[in-house]
Amino acid sequence: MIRAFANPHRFMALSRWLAPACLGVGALLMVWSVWQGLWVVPQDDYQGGDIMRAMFVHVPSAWLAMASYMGLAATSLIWFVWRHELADMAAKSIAPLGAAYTAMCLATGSIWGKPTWGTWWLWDDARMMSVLVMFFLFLGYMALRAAMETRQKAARAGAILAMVGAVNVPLIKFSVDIWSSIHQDASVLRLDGPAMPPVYLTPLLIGGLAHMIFFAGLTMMLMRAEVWGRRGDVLIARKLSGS
Amino acid sequence: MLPVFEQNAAFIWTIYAIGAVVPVGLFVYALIRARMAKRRLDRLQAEREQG
Repeated sequence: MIRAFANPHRFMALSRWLAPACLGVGALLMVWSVWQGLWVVPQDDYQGGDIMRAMFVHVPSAWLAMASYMGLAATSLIWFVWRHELADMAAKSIAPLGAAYTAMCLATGSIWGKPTWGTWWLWDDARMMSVLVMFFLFLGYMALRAAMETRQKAARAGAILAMVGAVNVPLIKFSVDIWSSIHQDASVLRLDGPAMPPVYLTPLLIGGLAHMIFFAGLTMMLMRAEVWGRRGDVLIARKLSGS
Repeated sequence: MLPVFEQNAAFIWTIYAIGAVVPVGLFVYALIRARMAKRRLDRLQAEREQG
């Protein structure tokens, strides 16, 4: 099945309509989630009053940061095992988007932390530090690729870093259970079900879904750019070789 | 009409501003990358066809 989808011509035909569709649907759902977060959901005095509205931006960005790193590691693994160039293009496209979403998670979390916990940042908080490590892994991945002489070397070095760094994702998820953290325990992804009323849970889940769909659209756009870029490189190589 | 928050309005609006700027910024970035790559490919193909 992977081979069937790993055809660049098929990908270009599919993504031509799927990328704008994902961007449109994702943007609409994002607007709905923001409308719910700012205007509709009641303030929760137990969670600090109105500041809990930050949840509808911060939590989806945190989910996307982790999901994008898993996407980076998965596409890197596919390239490493099967050498499908489309998987490498996907990994290369995911990296800047994942870095931006991780930065968004860190920034919104820090701003939420100031009125809630009285501090912008805690260096001994396991959740904050493991997310910061993930941000540096994204930056390191991009820097490593850029430093390599050939595309194959860049793909190989990047894939190894991405796969090794994947160990950080479960550490982020379970950091609040394993180490001390000012963050609360998981309230959505729990074995005994979400510990959150539907009035908050529904817009939160829709917001997370919106960002994921939007992210998929952006990834496809960047992958299309990469396919065009590599086709251009082939034409230049042919021109230089005189064929 | 914009909602009025009793406390922490500056924090809330800043967080939502970041939540808007990042997706819009990423969309613009992806759009520019895609357009530049397509334009370059079209130019190279035109040069090749002209010999």
